[in-house]
Amino acid sequence: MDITNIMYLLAKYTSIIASSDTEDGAALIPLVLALSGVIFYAAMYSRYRNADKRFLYEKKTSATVANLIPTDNFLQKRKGLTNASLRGANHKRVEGALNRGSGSKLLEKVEKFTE
Amino acid sequence: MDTNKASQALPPQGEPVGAPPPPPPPSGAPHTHGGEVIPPPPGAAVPTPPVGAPATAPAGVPATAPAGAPATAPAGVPATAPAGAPDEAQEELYDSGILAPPSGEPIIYQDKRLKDGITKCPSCGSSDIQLNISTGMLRCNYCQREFNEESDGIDGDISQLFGLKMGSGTSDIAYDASDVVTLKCTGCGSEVVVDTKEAPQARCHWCRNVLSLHQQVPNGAVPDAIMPFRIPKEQAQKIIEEFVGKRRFFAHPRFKTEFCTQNIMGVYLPYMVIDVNAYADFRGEGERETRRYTVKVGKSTETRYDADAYQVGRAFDLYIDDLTLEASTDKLDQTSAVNSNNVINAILPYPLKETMRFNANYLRGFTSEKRSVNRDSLQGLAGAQVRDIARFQAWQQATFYDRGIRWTSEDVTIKGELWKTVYLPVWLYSYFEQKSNGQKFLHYVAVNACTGAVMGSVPIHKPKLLAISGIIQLVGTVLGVGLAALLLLGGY
Repeated sequence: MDITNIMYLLAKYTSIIASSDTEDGAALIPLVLALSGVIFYAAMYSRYRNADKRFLYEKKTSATVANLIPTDNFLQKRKGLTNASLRGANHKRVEGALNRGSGSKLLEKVEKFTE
Repeated sequence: MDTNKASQALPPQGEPVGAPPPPPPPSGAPHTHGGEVIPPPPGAAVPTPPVGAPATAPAGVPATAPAGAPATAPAGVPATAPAGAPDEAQEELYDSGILAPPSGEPIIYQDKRLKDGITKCPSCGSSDIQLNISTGMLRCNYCQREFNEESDGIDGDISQLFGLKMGSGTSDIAYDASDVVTLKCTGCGSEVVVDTKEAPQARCHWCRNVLSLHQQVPNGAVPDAIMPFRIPKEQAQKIIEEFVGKRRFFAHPRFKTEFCTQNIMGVYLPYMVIDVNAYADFRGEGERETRRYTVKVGKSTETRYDADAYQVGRAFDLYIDDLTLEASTDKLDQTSAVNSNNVINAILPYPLKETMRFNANYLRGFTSEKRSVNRDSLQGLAGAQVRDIARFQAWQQATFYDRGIRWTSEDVTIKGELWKTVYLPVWLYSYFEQKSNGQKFLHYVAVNACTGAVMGSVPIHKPKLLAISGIIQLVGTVLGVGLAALLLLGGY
């Protein structure tokens, strides 16, 4: 992995943190500023190389759902959760994409670690 | 196509674990829901209460498990119903009604209309025929008569698709099959060699007639269908120039000097297009946010969430139309660190309802790449993409769970599939970059020659980009440190 990929990953995670749904987001502004060069590099690299682009077949392939049988059983109320989303949520997982973008393997490891 | 087996299914309430799966309901019939007949769900299929409302489905209520829910293939059983001799497990699936046995002719022959040799203009008999991009029709260069092939006709009602069907152009490539085919000229009787690696056509060197290869020899050169070029070269050049023009500032200086769209190539690339009739059954746990608030932790504040948790299941029939996969080994490799093939993938989709039966005259004036992979090699990839589509559709039917869903069981059974090979048109600009460290990289800018969609890779002048990023970094760091100090002093 060259410097480009490392910077790309840093920028990606910084942008995720910066855009995270939190009311104390103001405190993240210094972090974003402190990494502004890295973010700029990654944004330009992505714009020129388009290494992460692919056809979003999972969304754009014509598909029809029929005879739907839903099941929705209430389990419990959960209070005071710290995560903004369900821990281990995998409803958006994509397994069949040929292109996973720059540094995808490292990203996967980081994501597993942070889960 | 393989089936993703459950790692661990949630125990459904009110439903005996391990109960034998009843057959799925007939298409169009009302669904049974906990023993009651209910009308088909609305489009959004959000059956759950509004935020903050008390739970309407407390634990203990008879489960809403679908009547025909676990319609999954037993472990180890191929989820597809292949043509040929089905094994015992497959027979069981047929008996239980989960899979319908394959019916009809599995191979749809596409190459019986046109014979190898001279394809004549229906008006004047000339063999000098080629595509007129502006009309999308074949034109006789002698009498100017325009005509077209029929649409490929390999389609139908996906809900009635059972077992494996495929166009004859999808048949396995015999790897010892020669690229070179010898045709007998029906004009003068001489023998003409056609190198299918270059084009499925050649001109007779004696009588000057154009000879075309239409019969599907087992070397992957003749597909089932073709999507003719619609965007002329001049328009594609403009699209590429515009795309690159927006990316000039950090482009490599050598690239900027050498960039010229005169040499873009019109290429027909091979794809496999698949229709799938599947049954999907997803089970797991979902959360719906009911409250969001902040709490004080030490000196700072943190966000907290309250949520309702549900056991979620979505079982449905899924009809996938025209799933498109690259059918050449080269283009299947989309490792963006070593090539830019991904940009060709990114210009999908094509209007595949408008493909024509293959006629080699569509290829005149363009290059083409032969198919180099068989259906078997793509089966795993197709299976994974079908699962991804099913997962996305399951999510679309359960958006009520705004905090997400953790599927613990994902079963997708392919009941029927139809494969065909298609040539799709691409305008391709390519630039070979030799980096200072000796690495080589082929950059593409690709234009979808039907829709005009464009995507590309432009070589970057890294020293320039690093220098400007460094300046931004320096300024950002100074501002960031200053702002952080202000926030700390302000007791934020």
